[in-house]
Amino acid sequence: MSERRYFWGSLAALLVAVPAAIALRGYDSALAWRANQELYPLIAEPGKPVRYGGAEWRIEGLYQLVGQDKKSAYILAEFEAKIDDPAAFAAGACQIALTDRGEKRWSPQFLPPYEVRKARPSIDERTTCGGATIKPVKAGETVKMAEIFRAPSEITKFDLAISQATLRPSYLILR
Amino acid sequence: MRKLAALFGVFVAIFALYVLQKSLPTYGDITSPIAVFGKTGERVTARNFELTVTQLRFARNIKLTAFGNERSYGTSGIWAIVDAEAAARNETVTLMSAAWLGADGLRYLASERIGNAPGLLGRQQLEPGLPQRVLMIFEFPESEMNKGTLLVARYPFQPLDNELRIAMESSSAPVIHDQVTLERGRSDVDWSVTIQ
Repeated sequence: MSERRYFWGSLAALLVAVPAAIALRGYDSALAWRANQELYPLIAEPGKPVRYGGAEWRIEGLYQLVGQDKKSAYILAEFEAKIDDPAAFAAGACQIALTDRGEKRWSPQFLPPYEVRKARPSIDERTTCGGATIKPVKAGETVKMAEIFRAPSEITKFDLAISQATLRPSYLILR
Repeated sequence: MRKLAALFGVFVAIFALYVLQKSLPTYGDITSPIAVFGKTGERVTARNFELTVTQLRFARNIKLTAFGNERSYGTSGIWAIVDAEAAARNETVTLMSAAWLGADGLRYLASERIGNAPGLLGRQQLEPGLPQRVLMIFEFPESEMNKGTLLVARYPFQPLDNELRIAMESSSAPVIHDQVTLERGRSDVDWSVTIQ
């Protein structure tokens, strides 16, 4: 084979080898990125249950408590999960956020604020979503949960987005 | 002649490699935070949050009144107390990194001496749509108070994420107060800063 053919052959091989190397090296990173995203929603209409991660999830109520400044409000979300597969339910940490059905997401408050506990004392009987997955549960048991968010009071339509690390990119929307 | 040209080519190549070695950004430079520049009084917007510095005060002593107790914090340098308004943009964030960059390039991290101070930036959960008053406290030598830059980011080191760089404009002879009082009220948002 002539030198000229070697040259063009090598150049053509490079055009294949370089993108292939990039794709191979990036594959694991792409998989890790995908496993951390919420891409495929399972939507539960109000009051209707949906199966996700070894349980049947249902929203019980979303309550708004407008703050003294009138601009902010605490949003209390009460929801439950009827467990049918305790291992799958506890397989991954629960991640939860309130969304405005658009781009905005609010994370839960770390501790229940005094105003909310005063307005709804029964909140102390409920666990948080993260707390529920580390507590031992039995099949058939219903776990009652609550989370509190702080959001602008003018927003009145919210969704609850729940996902488990082992099940992402699919996630649950409680509407 | 041909040998001379080859030798010249080698020298040109060595010189080009030397220039490349000296001028190419390092890995640290390539992956460093992306700076967003701004100045006091204007809203500076990063990818995840926005921040407006509203006031800068210097003091020799800070008095903290919280939970019925009073405590004074002195310093061999000065305290810089930065009042600002911050909010998340699309998702809840906590801004874990604040530093004062002096004119000579020294960087002073936000002081953790006054742990009970109200409104400290790193302890506030910032929510989208809810701007919140926050406080940053720095302690540094008096020589560093002029032409400082406030650096604020989501994490102390987050490659390729935004870092705000806000020029802290103070007058040519900035006032150093003897004492600034921080008073914590009954709720997280109820606090005040007063000069004495």
